[in-house]
Amino acid sequence: MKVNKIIIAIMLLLTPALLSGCFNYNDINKLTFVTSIIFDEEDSDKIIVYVDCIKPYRSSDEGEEKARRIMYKGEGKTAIEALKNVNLISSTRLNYSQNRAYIFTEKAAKSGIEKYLSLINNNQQLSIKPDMFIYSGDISKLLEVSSKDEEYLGQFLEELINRNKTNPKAVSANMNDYLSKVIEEDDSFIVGSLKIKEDEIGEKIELSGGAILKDHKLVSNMNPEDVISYNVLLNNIKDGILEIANPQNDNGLITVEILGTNVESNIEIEDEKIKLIKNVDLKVTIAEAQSELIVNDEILDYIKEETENLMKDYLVSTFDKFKKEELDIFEVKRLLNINYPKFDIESPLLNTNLEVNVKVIIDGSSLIKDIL
Amino acid sequence: MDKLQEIKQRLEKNFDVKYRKVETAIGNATIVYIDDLCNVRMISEYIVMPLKNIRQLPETKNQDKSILDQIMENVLDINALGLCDDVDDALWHILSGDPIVIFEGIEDIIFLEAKGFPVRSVGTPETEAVLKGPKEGFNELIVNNIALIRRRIKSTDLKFEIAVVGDKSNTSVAICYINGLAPEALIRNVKEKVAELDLSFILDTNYVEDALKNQISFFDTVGYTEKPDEVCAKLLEGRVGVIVDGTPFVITVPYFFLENFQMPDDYYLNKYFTNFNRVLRWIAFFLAVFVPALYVAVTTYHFSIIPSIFMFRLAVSRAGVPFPTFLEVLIVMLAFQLIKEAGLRLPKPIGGAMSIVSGLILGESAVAAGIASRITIVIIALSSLAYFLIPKLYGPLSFWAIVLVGFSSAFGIPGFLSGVLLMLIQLSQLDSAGYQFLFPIGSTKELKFRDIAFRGSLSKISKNVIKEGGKDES
Repeated sequence: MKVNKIIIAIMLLLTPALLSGCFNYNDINKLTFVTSIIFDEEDSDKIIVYVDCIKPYRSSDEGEEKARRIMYKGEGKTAIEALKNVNLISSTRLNYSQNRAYIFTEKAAKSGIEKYLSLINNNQQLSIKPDMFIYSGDISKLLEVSSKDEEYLGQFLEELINRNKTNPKAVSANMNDYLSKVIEEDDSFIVGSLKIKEDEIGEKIELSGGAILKDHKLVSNMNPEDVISYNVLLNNIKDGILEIANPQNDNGLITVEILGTNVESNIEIEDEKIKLIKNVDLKVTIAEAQSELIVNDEILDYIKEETENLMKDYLVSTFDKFKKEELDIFEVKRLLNINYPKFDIESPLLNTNLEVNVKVIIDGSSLIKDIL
Repeated sequence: MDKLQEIKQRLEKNFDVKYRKVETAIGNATIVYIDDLCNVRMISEYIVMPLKNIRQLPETKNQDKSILDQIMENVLDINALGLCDDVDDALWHILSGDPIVIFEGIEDIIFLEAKGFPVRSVGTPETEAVLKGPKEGFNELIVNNIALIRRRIKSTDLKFEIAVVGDKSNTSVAICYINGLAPEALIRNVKEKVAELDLSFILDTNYVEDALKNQISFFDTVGYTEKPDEVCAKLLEGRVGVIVDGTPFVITVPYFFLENFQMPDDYYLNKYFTNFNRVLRWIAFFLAVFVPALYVAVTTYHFSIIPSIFMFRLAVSRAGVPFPTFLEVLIVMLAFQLIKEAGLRLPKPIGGAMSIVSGLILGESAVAAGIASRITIVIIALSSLAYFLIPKLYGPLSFWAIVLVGFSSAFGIPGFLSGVLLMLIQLSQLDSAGYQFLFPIGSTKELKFRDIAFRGSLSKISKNVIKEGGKDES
């Protein structure tokens, strides 16, 4: 009995040793935390990795603990070699647990990002949770602007994405979404696109539309208007605005604010033709009217009709645009596989027409009639 | 050698033992007593004077009665008196504060109750302060303590069985219970444990506690209190109490883990407020024992579960600390233990102030000197503060907090969980006088213990009314 107890006690003590195999003891202040990783390439297929880090230190001048931002650059034939080379110039060990973004430059994305996926997916230190972005522009400018404006690039991008989760012009996608998507038959995938916006105030990092990846390569870009249509068709939209002409004033516009949407998708086959049906329920309110607007039944019917037409036009034109490019970003193949698993047709997207049924409900205090 | 000589011989070299000779009509008598243990005025007025005034023994109808019986009945004006069994019994009475009277030529010895030693008055218990409810506390005199209990339970079923323990100290130990409520096996168990005590002296209830505990553990499986109302409540739940002469603490068995979260005034305050406080005590328990270990595990192994902003603050906060996190935590824990111990031992007026000042100064200086980080000070201070909400778990929690820090620093969260499991195994194998310590978990035994995790209605808790014949009404 006593021997059994001793054996159980030893097993109990050994269990955590086995369970903690993936982790090592590290003191938090002896590490440099990576907040974002930028993958770039040079013409000679040399991989360049920029690592945006935060390093804690104790200032000997002020006798205070502080943190400073450090940017490391590593080069190599492979991504892991480039990351390992970063360790040669860092006095403390890099820790990737706080990494919040994987940014691929346009060049790296066009060349194909599959060479980085093995590292991201299989390396125990790297996580697949961070958001992924494609950056279009000069890399040195991104590093310069981010160091001026934001303390840590990864944190900034994470907050930017969280804040714009309901913004119809923004696309958010993380590495986990991407790795799930690439195992599907059609792997067209949209990620957020980053640009440097320059105006009279200065330079800022901007979330600007989306970038379409297919076969791990950047194949097309989406402007913010296309992103709105994309978000509506995939039921990703929670708010947004639409502008229609004000019939009571020739030069004015009426702004309609989207309060909520519900999109039901269906797919049907008629005479070897595929019909993608999107039933869009749109709840809106009148947000703004330039010049005057007297609310009555007539104007409400007009707003309803115009909004429905506008939405239909937007959606159909965006669908047709990417249909021509043979980019199945609206998941036609997936829906077809679910609903008609035995139906076999070459280029299903090219044989698909979009039918949009928009139903607009005007809600809110703007319904009160006979007011300006 | 006559009995007086034997007593003199055994009590020699004691300046405070007095031998007062009194000439009486029936011969010389000697009163033996210890000066500071007896009420000298009582001896003079009710023993010496009546004995001196004996001219002749009063006539009695019963001719069979001995002279001593007649003296005890008709001469001595002391309420409690009797004959000693032998010289040892006479000595025990003398040492307990009772004078004895020995008549020349008479074998038997009379003892008389005339105790008069200094006793601390019934005061407010310092260790169990209450906002509302009875404030009386036990003192060091067993008879006073018994009286305090008797005053609250006026029942013929309330029993106090006395035993004398300790070859040298001859200390009175009373076992109290309510007949019909306390299980027979429990009473027998406690009596046996007390009877088995083979000690030279016993100065506190802890000597009995040790005998009642049969497992090695930091957790107390015997309850103790200074409050008579609490002892009464426990007796009415069917428990057995042990009172030891010379200590204001009364122990009760069985004692369960859940009772560490119950405070004396729980039954005198608003039920909802009491339950809110109990939730706070449970939170305090988790803070005290788990938070330092979780802090070590998370900040040395599992960075990814900490929100980034907090993570960077943690890293910056520790930037200047040269020690590994677990060592830093242990140093700060040790410092807080020192402050707590110093605060407890110092006189009350300066103890509290010293604790605050040393806590503030030491914490600030440790951060400035780079020995500890601010966040570690906050974590350990929070954990240390939590101990005070559950004072009876102070010892076990101090120990287990350190053990869990060790496990966490070695293996991270898997280690922490293993440590917690080890603590649960220890808790689940403990018993208190034959009852599971985690009662009612893991036990089919019944006890009239109605206040479990949350305090219910007093009408339910106080339902154990004893009926005629000692039967429980519930």
